[in-house]
Amino acid sequence: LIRRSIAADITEKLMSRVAVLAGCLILAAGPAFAQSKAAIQKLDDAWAAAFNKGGAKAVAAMYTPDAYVLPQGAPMVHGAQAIEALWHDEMQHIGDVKCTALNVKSLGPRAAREVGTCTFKTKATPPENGALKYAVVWEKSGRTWKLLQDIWNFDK
Amino acid sequence: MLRAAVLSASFVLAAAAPAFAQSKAVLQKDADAWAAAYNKGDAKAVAALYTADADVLPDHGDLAHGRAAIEAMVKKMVESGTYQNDLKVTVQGVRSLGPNTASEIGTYSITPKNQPSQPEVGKFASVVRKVGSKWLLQTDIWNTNK
Repeated sequence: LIRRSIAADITEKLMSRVAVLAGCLILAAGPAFAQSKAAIQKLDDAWAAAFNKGGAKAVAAMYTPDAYVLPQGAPMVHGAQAIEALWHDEMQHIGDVKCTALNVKSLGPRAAREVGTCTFKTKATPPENGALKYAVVWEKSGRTWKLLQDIWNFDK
Repeated sequence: MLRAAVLSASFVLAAAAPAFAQSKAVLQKDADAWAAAYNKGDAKAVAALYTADADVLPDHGDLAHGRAAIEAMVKKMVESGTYQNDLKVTVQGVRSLGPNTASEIGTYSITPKNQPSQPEVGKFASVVRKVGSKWLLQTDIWNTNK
């Protein structure tokens, strides 16, 4: 355990050094910092585009393998298959989803927290407009950012 | 010799303590404190479990930012008198996101006064941050299963 925590400490130091270096590179390269609101908004847009196209597999691929989704009105689901099934089901009921990042907080070099809102239209006739608020945690997985936990609810 | 071993062992344990702090047991204690304060109607004590810049996204309510807004939100929940004072929160999963940050998910149950035979069951997701020696809630959101 001690060895592991020392190793973790060294990794952490290395990681933060890498992060500083990466930060410099990114500053030099332009405004592409992964934990910025703009970068997270791009991920939100990709999520919504996949959802609106009916691509449950593509939506599920944006989650870590051990992610949790806590849907309003149903028990939590865990893991890629269950998450794909959940979104496949949701796609039958709603569409035209648009999500907006309101507040993004860096949680260190490999995680970020996002709070935002989404609007959508139900697939009922006539369609109804809906809105929700959400909080998610993004985790860096290799070079890409993936959702580790995802939960939403309604204001009213 | 023995004393030295015990001393160094306890020193090492003390030094290693932050690694344990993200464990489910520690966060379960904090969740119990949240429920106990809420069940007593102590909004100030609930708000004290959050970081100064915390965001709370209550089910059927507006986003609250910061301790004063969180205290007002909890006060409103308590004063609505919708529920019995039997909130129970269970931490189910904890994930370390670094030395001072973790995310957690879990479930809760609480009994509506007008439907005592049907407790409301729901779930929450939070981000916790270590501030001094305490783990405080930095983001908190919940919803119902029905």
